[in-house]
Amino acid sequence: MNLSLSLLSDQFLLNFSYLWLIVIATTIGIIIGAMPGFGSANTIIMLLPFTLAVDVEVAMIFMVSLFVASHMGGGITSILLNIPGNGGSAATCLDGYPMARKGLGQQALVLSFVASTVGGMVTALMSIFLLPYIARLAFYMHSVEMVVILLFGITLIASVASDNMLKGLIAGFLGLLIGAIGADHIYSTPRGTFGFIELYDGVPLIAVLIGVFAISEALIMMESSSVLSDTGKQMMRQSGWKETWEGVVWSFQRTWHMIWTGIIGLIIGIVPGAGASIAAFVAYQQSRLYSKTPEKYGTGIPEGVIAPESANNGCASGDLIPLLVIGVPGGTTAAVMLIVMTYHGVQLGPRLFIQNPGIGYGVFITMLIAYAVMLFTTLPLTRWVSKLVLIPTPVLAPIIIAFTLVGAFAPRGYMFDLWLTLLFGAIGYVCRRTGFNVVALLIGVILGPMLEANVMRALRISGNDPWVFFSSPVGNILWAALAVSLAIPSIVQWRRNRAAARTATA
Amino acid sequence: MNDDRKAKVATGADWIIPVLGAIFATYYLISIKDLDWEAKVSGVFCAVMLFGLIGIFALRTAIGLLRGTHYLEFRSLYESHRLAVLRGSLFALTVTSVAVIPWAGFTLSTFGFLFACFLWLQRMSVRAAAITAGALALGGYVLFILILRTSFPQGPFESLVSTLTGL
Repeated sequence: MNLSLSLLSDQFLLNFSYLWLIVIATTIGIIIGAMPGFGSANTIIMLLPFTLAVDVEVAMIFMVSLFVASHMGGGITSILLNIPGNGGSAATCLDGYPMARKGLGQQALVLSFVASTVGGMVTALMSIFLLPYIARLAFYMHSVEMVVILLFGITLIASVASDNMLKGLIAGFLGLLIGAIGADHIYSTPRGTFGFIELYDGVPLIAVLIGVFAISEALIMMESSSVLSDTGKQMMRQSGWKETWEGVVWSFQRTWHMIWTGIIGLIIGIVPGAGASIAAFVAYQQSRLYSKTPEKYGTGIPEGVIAPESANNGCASGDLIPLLVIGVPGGTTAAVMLIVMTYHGVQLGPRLFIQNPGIGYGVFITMLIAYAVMLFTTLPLTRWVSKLVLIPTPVLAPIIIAFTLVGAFAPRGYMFDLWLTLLFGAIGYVCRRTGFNVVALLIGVILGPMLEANVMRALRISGNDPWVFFSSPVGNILWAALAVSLAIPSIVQWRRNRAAARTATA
Repeated sequence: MNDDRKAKVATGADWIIPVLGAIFATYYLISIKDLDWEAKVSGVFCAVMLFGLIGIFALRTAIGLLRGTHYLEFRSLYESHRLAVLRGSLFALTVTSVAVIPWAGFTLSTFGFLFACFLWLQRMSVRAAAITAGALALGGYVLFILILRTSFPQGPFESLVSTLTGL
């Protein structure tokens, strides 16, 4: 593959000449990302006439900037309102919202922006230099490996439910069962659909997301006149540039954390079909498992914001690698990009790097510049954006409901989805009031269908031999990693208990 | 609530999710009983696990009630009468708003919903509520219908604007 300094510098110059376009695209991307239900894929589809009318380089700069910005934007509402803009930012709610409630919304936003930028930039740089090698990973990721990766995500149910494990597991398995609604992956026979044809494709994730997060959160909000505690309100009113700078310092004190969780996102992003939501949940879970203070996760700590945000932006780089190197899109937006590139006559796959290396490497150069642009445009805004939480809840809650319902309708255009959203809103409300973790429920709904599809595919290919799950070297390495990641916290806890017992007897 | 109750675990409302889960799991198992094993293995596994967990939950609650460490109550679901009325009103207004969307369209239903909520929940003056709700509904119309082209059912407002301006 023809990677040279002159090629990279040419791409930098090209991108700089379209800086105005990157600014526009990132602004649209951040706004779209912050709105539940409006994904980057839908936006690119809506702007398809533009991307088809301009040169392929310009179209790619626009699409890539919009794509990466949407990953960053999703964290804004997760932190301020406990409503994720997309599945990838659902894990950000776990610590981002508690931080906002304490009056640390501005710092949490900065953490999210810096982690997104660092995670995205590091993984984009890695992608440029390791592209040929990283891309080979995609060839080794089949159903068996996907099963283990998904299990990594599902173990998070136990983590988030640590307050009340039994209730958390009930919510998680209910989510998995809800995720099993719809036509099965082999015979396409409907299961548990109550006869509704709208459920044959499965329960729409956006309806669940908006219902259990936005609607139920809006109902819960009514218990006080503000989402902030009294101290939080006072802190938020007085917050200024000092808090922005504090967020930057907190972020860079955790540079290594941003890097390794970004790499988790990159690796998961490379696997076709595994999206930002899995990357964010797995990164959060791994971050918690290797933390010295895992009990603080969920109470509003910087690491809990950094891990998912860095990972879902790392996933954005990973999503594009199989698209460019083997012509297989890693996600929905990458699939739309494939269509645009094919329309422009660009041949994807290994030939791309021989015939048109500028486009191949240019994608990651665009990502680097888009992240830099986003950081410089969003950081000064955090001071004002974070004030959103100062709006009284009797005003905020109806606005949230009115506008998120549009998001529930937009992806499929069914009125049915609005009713489903209200149903999940009621379920989410009951869950929250009675201590059943809604994140565990959501993880089940997101990962359940994927796990089932991959388990069935692996079994089909192997002639129903269960040993297939231990038949691949990469899969076995992942199994070992899963076992180690589950065992380490128990070992650490056991050692701590033993040390405490020794101290007590001494 | 006296100190004796504070030390105990409240149960009652937290039975809603397990009961709903058990009903749904039963329905799910019935709906898949005639399918091939590949189509039902995942659902059966999840349903059996769910029943098992609900069983443990039931056992734990029953023991707690017998020992006196748990007590029955449903108040945790609504906290106080005032909050129950507020939340109930908000949810009822949301349901009404969704129900009228097919006839009123996005803009009018959103305006009506926000106007009613601001009047009822925030106790805004009629004028302030109308201006705020109107501005938000119009903003939503421009963003979602005109710019993002969301295919919400057309109402009288959208039809009128479309006829007058061709947008």
